[in-house]
Amino acid sequence: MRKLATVGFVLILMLVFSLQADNFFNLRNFSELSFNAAFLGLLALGLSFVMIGGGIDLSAGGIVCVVAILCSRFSFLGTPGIVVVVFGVVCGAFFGLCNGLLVSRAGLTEFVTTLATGILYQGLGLLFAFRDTGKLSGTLVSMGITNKSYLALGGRFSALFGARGALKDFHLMTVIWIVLAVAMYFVLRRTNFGLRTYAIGSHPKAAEMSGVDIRRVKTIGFVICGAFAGLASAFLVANMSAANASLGSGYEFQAIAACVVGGIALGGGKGDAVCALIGSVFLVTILNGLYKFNIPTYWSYILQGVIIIVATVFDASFASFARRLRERRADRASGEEAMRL
Amino acid sequence: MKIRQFIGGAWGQRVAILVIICAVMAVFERQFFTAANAASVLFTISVYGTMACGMLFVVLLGGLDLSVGSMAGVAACIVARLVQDSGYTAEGVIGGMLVAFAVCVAVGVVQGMCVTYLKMPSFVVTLSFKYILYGAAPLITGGSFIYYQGNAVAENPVQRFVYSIGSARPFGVPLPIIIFVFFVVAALVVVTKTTYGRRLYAIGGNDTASALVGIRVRRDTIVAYIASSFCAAVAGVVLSSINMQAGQTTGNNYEGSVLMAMIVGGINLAGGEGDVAGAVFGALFVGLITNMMTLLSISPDFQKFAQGAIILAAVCINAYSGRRAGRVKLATAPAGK
Repeated sequence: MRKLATVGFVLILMLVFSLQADNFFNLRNFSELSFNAAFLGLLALGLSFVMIGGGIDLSAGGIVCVVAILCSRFSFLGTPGIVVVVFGVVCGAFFGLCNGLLVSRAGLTEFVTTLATGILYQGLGLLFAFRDTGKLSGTLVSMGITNKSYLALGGRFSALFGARGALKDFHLMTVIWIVLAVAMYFVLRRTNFGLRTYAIGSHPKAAEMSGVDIRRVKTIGFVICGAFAGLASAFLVANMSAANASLGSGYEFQAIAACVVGGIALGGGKGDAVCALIGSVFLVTILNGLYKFNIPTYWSYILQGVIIIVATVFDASFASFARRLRERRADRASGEEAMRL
Repeated sequence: MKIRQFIGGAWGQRVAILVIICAVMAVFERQFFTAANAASVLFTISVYGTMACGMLFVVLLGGLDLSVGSMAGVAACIVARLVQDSGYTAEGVIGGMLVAFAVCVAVGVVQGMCVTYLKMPSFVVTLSFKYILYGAAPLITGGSFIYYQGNAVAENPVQRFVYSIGSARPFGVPLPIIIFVFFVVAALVVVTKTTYGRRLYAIGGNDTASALVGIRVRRDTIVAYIASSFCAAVAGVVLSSINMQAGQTTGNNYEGSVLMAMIVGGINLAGGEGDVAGAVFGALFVGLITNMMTLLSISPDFQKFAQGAIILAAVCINAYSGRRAGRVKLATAPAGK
């Protein structure tokens, strides 16, 4: 129900934008839109594991920043593109593991820890970034990536397999994102790990009493979150063919917004991977539409903030509406039973 | 005995840290002890400190206000815009400040209502408002920075009043310091001497129990967000008059430093623990460490890294010492209880 509502909103938005803005409804824009949605979607997909488990991760932007720099540095060694992407995922997972260990083993508060590590990772990105003199005192420069096989991964399908097939205008990352979103849906809904994530999100004490190792599940959630941020970052760098250290600020907030809009509740235990997918499509569509209407960028900041609050209000009223509906149905059922007796 | 307690206690450590920073600076950088540098450090401290005094209320409740930086920026923009539009009249100055404070208080009320009535996590609400306010600032200024005209200030006494908040020195003390001290005293009185202060600690310690004993948790929470927003607005006006400009990036990302001040000052972000003195110490620490890194010409990039590392280290230390204190309490508890 909740997902259908969001999909409905997305369709309405797309319809309005298609009718009002003449440069919205075309293949080129949809390809761009789907790439942006895939980038945000991968972040939101990773974040959904943490958020369903009742936690929060504010370090996604920092991880994107440092992994982007590391990936572009690594790509200059001339390794095949796929190895660079794997390297990015491993780095992201490592940073996620740091978050997870700090939260679950050292017992620190999640949002403070990840806020601090987010700043820390962004600082690391700045330390590793390319400089004109090669020393820390030099000014930041952006280095164009020359590694061909890595660049091809960030491009469209036509760059990889020639100009054939229906997918030729879409990016490889978009396809990977959708495949992963479906896979993660089953990981969350069908595997033991996924069910434990829901358990610790909806009732941590009950989960612990029934033998769930909360610290372990939490740590794995953070590792997955970091790995997805690393994957998204590696593809983004390949697409932009350059990395700079200012990348990544604000993405953690967009990812949270995407999850909340999609229906992954802030308290945990609700929503799934498809919610994260729909939520990021929604957010990216709105941002794209604003861009097409030539609305100044500062409106997008205002909008993102408002969206989180509106989505929460919507969720709260939606939940109470559904509860009332259930109660009324139950009343009617018991009434009918009484009649029969 | 008392001296040993002092050295071993939190304050001994705090003073020791400040002394170490000063000693390092004395060895490596002569400029640290000049009057000009002292003034710049005090300005930094007074801006961060004023924000910290307000945020303390929210943090004592177990919340967090990440919107203080953007709030300061918006307040500065409103004042600058209205003063400029009114043609530098006294009404413009007073009206601008009233409008700025009213807007920030209203935003504080909305934040408080989101937290209490919608039951949203405090940091998500304030993070959302950080971006909303950050986006709203260019709407107020028209997209560019508003610069304070220095030479016009000397002629017009009204202008001098607003734009010289950063440079006025009644009784030889810079005005930002006086404002900072005023807010520290006010926060100290409210937190330690009023029932509202006691209620803050009670709600931060256990909000369900507080509600059961008849504390109006929602009202008190909203008041705390108002206090935080108001202090941030004042700090923003002071900041913009120190820098002689106001725009979108005024106060941007200050909440990181204020948060650092909170955590270094030993204020428990889970709520119910901490005091005004801790917030003041934190502001001193942040001001000194920022100044130290700038004077030692450490690159701003490393400063960002250091900021994250310090917050993380302080959180770890707080958690560790808190846990140790808890263990001691358990060990000394009478048997059979």
